[in-house]
Amino acid sequence: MSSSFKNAGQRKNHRERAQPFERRKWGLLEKRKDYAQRAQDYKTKQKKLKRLREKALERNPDEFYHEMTHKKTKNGVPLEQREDSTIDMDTIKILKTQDIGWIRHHRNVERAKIDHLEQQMHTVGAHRNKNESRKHTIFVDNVKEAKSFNPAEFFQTTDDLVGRTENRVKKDQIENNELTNQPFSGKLHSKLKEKAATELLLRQKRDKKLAAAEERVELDRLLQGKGGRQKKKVVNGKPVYKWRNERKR
Amino acid sequence: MAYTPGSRGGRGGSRGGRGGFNGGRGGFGGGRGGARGGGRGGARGGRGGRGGARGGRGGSSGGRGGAKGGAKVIIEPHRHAGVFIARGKEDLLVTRNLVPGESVYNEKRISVDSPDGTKVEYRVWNPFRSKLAAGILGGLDNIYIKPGARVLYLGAANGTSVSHVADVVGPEGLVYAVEFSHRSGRDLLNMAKKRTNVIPIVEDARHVQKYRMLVGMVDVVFADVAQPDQARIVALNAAAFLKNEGGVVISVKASCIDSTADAAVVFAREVKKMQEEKIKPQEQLTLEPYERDHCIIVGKYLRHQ
Repeated sequence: MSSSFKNAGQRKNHRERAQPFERRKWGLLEKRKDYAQRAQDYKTKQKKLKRLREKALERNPDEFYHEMTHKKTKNGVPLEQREDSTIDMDTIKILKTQDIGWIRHHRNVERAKIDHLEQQMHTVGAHRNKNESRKHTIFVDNVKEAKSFNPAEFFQTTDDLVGRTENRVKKDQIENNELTNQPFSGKLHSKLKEKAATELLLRQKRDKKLAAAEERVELDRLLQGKGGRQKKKVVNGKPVYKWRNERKR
Repeated sequence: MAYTPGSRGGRGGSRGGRGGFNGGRGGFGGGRGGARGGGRGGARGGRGGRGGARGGRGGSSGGRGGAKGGAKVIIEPHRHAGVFIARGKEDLLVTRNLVPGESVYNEKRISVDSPDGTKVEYRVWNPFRSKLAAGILGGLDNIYIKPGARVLYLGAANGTSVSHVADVVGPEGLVYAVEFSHRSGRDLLNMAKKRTNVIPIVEDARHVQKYRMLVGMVDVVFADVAQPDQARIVALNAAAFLKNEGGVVISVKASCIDSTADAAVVFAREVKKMQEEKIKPQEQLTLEPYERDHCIIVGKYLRHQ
């Protein structure tokens, strides 16, 4: 059969066999090329180890180089002599400034993420702080009305919807079946909202920590500067300093 | 080359075979959910595939899922007519877009198939940028702004909130948007070109006589002017244009009226001023967590009190 005729028809696409399902714990099914690669890798490492062993055996303990006079080893490992690592104050101040820059940058990033999250979470009340809950005041004509005030009646809704501030649907809307069955009102929806609320809470905590860190580094930097100062008091575990007024000449 | 276990083969490997480098099932470049397009659900569309690098299920540019790529969103009617809540991955306050296909201030738009087969577009109304939206989500009982209503909006600024109010009142309603700043007025005018139910007025809200010939009687006055004398400004406009028993919605920023006093005290003073101006207060709502030291006061104008 001529080769051109053989090529005219579509050839069978021979696909590689995958690892059988029951043997999946041994990972991917190894082919010859995989074995070759693994073997080559193994041999290279063994050769290296063999060479190192030989070197160790051939080592002369009485060997001496003049370099050895000002170098040390500890358990056969050479010790590097470190240079004098003291940094002058000016360099430290520069480093502190860079630290503040880093913190500020990350605070900005964090704030942007917080804003983005808040804008997604129009109806999630979970990110409200305890100390800044909203206040809804209803004005009534007399004391009698105030005493007999019923929120569900006032908002023309059911008792269980009174707390749902984002959409207290009216009774007639419920009766007219204006509300559809939401596929997202179940567990998945609440889970997603919870997740977003948790993330926001964590990001806000991180923002607070970064703010505290910025304050601390800034104070360190100022304390390294010139000028007489006095530690006045400690507020919430933070020292408060007062600098002496000095005329700049 | 050092050996790394699992560097190829199987599904979605990096070098051929089933899931090979250039195709196969879940490979690096194409195939089902591949990283470079092609196949079923590659990077540039396809049918979602099985989670390629950029296509796949819920990917940013291909397939279903995620807020952008045709996610399932249910539009729930709000207590206030003309306002809706889009319930999906996130719950968003939305209004029906009067000019489909166009954003006013780069806000997100949501397209939903209506029961009769047509597509309806909604625009997301951000409560962090609009005090009225914050008030609606805060649970105001009555905002008086509804389809077909005529609204006098004082302090329209660039027209971001005005555009949503225009969506709420619909083509049957009218919004008279008053803004003193010429710079903001430019954006307002551009927005009004597209929304024919918005009448922009670039004038000082204190000088009612300057635009009295442009404005008819209205059902509700909404004010967000952030001025110390805003109660007087609202009273002047209500006296000139607001019908008897019409609605008054005022957004109060405590620091603009008195930066030294406590916010609650400032709000109480404003309520008192409103009462003196024939406006009977009905409810007051602070706008946390959307705004700090802000509140919305809703009242009814009793002309013959």
